[in-house]
Amino acid sequence: MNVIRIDYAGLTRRAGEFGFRRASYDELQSGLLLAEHLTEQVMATPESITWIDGLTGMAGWVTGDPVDGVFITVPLSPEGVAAVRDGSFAPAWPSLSHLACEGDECGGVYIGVYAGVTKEARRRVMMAAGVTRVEFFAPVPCFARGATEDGKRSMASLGFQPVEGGLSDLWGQDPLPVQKEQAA
Amino acid sequence: MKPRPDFGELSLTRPLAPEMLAQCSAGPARTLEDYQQAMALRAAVYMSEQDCPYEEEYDGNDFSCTHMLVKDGSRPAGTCRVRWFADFAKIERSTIIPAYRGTPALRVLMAETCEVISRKGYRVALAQIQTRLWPVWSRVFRCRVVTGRAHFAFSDFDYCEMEIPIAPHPEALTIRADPLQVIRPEGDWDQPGVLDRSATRPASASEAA
Repeated sequence: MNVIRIDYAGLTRRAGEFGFRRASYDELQSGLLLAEHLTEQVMATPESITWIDGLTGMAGWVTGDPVDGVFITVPLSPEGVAAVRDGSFAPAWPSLSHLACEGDECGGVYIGVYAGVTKEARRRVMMAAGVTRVEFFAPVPCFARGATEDGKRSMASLGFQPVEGGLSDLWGQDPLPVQKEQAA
Repeated sequence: MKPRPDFGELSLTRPLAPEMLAQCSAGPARTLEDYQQAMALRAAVYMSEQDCPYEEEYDGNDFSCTHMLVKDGSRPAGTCRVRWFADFAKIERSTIIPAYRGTPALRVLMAETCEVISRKGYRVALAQIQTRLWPVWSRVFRCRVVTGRAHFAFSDFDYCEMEIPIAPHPEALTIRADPLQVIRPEGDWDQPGVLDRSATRPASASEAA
């Protein structure tokens, strides 16, 4: 299984170029409320995302002031990738061993939430998700759940495919080809 | 009504069910009565069940820590103590009496303990656990054994170190927190305390000096 070391500073800088910043607790509350409203799905609590974010150094991202877009991305340990595939990963309350804590090797990424209120916010979310995936996490697989038909269409457009045997409605994207100069 | 330990429970392997908090309540010991209950629980478990010598159980640190107590109604069910260091809190002497093992008492106690630790701004707790009890503790906490450290032994048991990540609390008490909030009773920082009420009296600094 491929593993990577995450470039946290680079990720923050690049996400910032699309208007995203690491979310405070209050911003996460707003962002998750917004995502629940848009998707009509129950989200993880802001407390739980705060816990994950504190450990991984990269989970909760928002855009807009007031918040009009949210993006939750969880770096997984190799054990976490296996758990996503076998259905034992609990997105709202993950085991510590399933997370790639800050500085640990990362074996994959689980995108928990991506939602934007306006067309512009949705564009920023999709751009940030797509670009950071390619530039920072290409060598490892990426997972997300197709909570809505709209979400499934978005994932399909990014090259995700349904994954059998794991969490319900699980979609995944294999590692992406990495150019030699990137891999060096 | 006491707020639920939303941040403390994040250190547990699963959230507290509402009925757990209906059955048990936990918080810092604030009275001599609470303190005596904590000591009695530890005597029952450590001195009686584990045959721990008195001077090893009461090791000189009981007046320099925060004692936590979990109760079922008015009946004490368990306790632990927390000692405070520069960048970590250390959870020690975790105790549940036999009648309350397998009940929510332990999880409620630990959630409330981690809530206090979180509110004080700490991000990690350390516990020295009997090595044989790792399977038990790993089902209670989202935690890890500290690697690269030798196991050690005292009081006739082998121990290892367990690290428990603590959730960052958005209302952690900082040095710039409201001065009256900081002097409220431990763990009850959101309720006006006796000194808040005293603040309504006119200050008379010259008389006190």
